Amino acid sequence: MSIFNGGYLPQELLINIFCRLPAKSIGQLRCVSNPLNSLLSNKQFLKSHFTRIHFQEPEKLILLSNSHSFHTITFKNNGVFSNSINFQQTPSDQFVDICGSCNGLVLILNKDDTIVVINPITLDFKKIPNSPFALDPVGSFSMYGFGYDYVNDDYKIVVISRYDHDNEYEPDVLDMFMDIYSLKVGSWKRIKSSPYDHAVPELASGVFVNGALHWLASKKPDYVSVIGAFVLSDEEFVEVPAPKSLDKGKFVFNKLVVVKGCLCMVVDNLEGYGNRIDVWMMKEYGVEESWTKFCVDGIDFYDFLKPLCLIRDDEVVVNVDGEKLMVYNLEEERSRDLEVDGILDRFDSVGTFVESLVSPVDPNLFGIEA
Amino acid sequence: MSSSTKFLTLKTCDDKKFVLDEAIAVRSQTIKNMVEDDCVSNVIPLPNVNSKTMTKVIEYWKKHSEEGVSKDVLMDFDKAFVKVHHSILHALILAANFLNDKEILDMMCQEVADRIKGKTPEEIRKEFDIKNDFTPEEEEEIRKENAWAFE
Repeated sequence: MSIFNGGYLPQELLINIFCRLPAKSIGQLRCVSNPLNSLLSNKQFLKSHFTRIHFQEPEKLILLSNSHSFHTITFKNNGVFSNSINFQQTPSDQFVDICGSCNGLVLILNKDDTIVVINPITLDFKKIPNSPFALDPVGSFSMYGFGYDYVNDDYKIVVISRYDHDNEYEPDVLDMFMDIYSLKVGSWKRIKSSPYDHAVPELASGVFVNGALHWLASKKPDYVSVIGAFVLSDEEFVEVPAPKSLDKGKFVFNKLVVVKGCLCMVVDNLEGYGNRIDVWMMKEYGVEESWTKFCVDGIDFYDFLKPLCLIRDDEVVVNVDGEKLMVYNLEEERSRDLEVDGILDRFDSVGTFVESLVSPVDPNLFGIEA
Repeated sequence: MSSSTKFLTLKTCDDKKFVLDEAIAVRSQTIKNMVEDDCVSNVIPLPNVNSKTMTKVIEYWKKHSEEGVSKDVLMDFDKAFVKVHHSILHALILAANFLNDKEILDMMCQEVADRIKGKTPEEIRKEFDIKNDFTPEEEEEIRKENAWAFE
């Protein structure tokens, strides 16, 4: 007699056990027997596993090296582990950017601007068909965002694009075009243009928090800075209050990130060279009074310093100029290099993600009865 | 023992009787509900639990109800408690589920999960006496689909 044979334990108890396991153990268990494989592949299990793991596992990092290969970094029991992931579909694939992640899926961008959604754990991926609305990359700019629409149980890719006003191609078209790809529907659509001016010095991916993608933008006609939150269910922008003390005329030059599930704004106070940033964290989403500030001090940077994730309550991993990763201890106000074996010297892009079994090919789990 | 101590008699599926302080027995939510609903006659039948398993459960309940027992002692006790053959884990999970004792259920499910973690399919089959029911072709296919888990 065995626990897992012949359905001897009720399914709810098996799910209770298996939900405690990391994704890789689930993959190994599927190879044990037919009944285990079918139980661990069905959507009811995937949903239970997702909801549980999601809150249990610390965030991981995904890095794109400048030789276009991916690595993941896992923080576990005070150790740091790296793993190179073998993901290249054709020899011509040259991934150049990581544009966001949500529920364990990561949006990556190929050199030719094709978009791929990948689960870095299961290596499951979906190539997104090229947008019929895409502007010619020569003479235009695009910013990407990726997130989950809780209302419609749908994953959406959002592209904001505009012509470069300084060139001769379409100098008079000032529109900020907005295109959306729905993973559920499987097609692109163009919605009405963004009401904001998204011409920022540095292209930024949308920051996904609370069902919305966030960008810093300027509001016409006075060009005051706003945090524009593109709500994925309504497909409309709303504004999220910024920290009161910031200059409404120019906080558009700051950067948005997400740390610990909270929207954060990074202020570096300097142009170029610096060794201190202020990180404003909106602890309670949408509540202006909940913005609180912490500092990362004493790390020299040239271009930018951006927090990525917390590995303990008091330690934040920061991206220094896209050249190295460091750990800053908020309590002791001290920093150290992040030591990982096989760490890359330089990387093109880095992002965070959570471990999940969600498949980019068939990601919808919401309609499944738990 | 004060005169107000009430005792319950539990009867397992193999007709063994266990007399137990009610204050301890109500660690089982199932028994607690029966007591609160006044459904308790002389004997509480436990049709899904055998005496061997119930002995283990009561051992746990008594230890965890001891007055002044230290956390360290309980931790050592729990560690030893879960070190049993998987068939006993199995029985304890079913019993804890029936008795609705979340503490034991949680501990046992975690133990099974811990025994699976980091093991290959072959090791898992051996640990839990599971028969490999794949055809060689099926197994090759399934290994290919889940190759990511073996890196």
